[in-house]
Amino acid sequence: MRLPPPISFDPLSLDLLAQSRESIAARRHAEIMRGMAAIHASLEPSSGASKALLDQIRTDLREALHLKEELDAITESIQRTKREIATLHSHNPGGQVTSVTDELGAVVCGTEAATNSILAAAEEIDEITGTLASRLSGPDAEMARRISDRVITIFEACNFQDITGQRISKVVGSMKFIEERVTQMAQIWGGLESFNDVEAFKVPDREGDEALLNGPALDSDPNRTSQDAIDALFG
Amino acid sequence: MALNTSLPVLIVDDYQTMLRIIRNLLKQIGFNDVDEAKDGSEALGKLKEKKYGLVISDWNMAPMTGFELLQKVRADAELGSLPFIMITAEAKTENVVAAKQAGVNNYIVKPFNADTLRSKISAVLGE
Repeated sequence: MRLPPPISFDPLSLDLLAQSRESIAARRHAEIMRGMAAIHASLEPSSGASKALLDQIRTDLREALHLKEELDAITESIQRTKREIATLHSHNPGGQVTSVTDELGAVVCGTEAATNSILAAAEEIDEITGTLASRLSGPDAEMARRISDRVITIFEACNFQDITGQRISKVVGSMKFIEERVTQMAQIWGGLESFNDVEAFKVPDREGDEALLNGPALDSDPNRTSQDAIDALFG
Repeated sequence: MALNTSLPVLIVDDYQTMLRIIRNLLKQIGFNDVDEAKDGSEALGKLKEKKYGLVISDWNMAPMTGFELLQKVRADAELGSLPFIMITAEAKTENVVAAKQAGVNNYIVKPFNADTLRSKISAVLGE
């Protein structure tokens, strides 16, 4: 097999070829630069109208960001409120306000019973004093009259019960109003059941002796221990 | 001048304890013919049955308030001039003015004492 003859290059031809390549590269470079200049020109506002449009877009963007921040804050507030309601509900499913109003009702009943006992005792003292005064004379009768005067003071002092009861009734009314508003808010968000999935705030558990400080129990409290049960425990 | 304590008195209050207190204070003053009613409507019934010399009424009661009772008494041909004292915890000016305009003879704000009660009764009964 015969090999083809080696190619021979004319030095002049090679020089022309090199010059041609450099020329092509230069043209392409120039084209690229023109293209980039065109892109740059299109990006750079060249008129007052397009600059105003860009400013408007920037302003709208700032407002949109501000609006987003506001919405985030509102969302955060709603979540916190829902957690507060969930905490209120989880801490006392029967109703915190109901519990408080029951306690206040017990205060009214307790003071009313005590007032009636005081009044009954005062009435009896008054009756005895009246009988005694009719049998006495001089300084002794005067002492009986002074006792009777003091009994009037007891009657007057028992006025407090009515006023106290009415004041507590006003407080109970206000608390029920608040409870109704909270319930209405819960209804807006789908009712109390919808709060079951909301994480409640952690209410610190009472510990040690503090955990035993529950105050007087209501008669309706299922955990209330009767004196009979206590007596049975102590034999 | 001595107070005419022989007059029958009707006390009206929905609060049993207050009825008891007023009754005892009236007794100390010298009134022994004292009847009780627990609201305005019951009082109105008693006023129709017996001739009273004085009504002492609370304001805030149900179903008929002391203010309604006062208005009905004043509107009644037979009861219109009956002495009427309001004893109430309602101490706002608008309450006092309304009661005065409705024809109440005197107004005592709770809590009160025997001297206040005595002086108001004396003023109302004109003695």
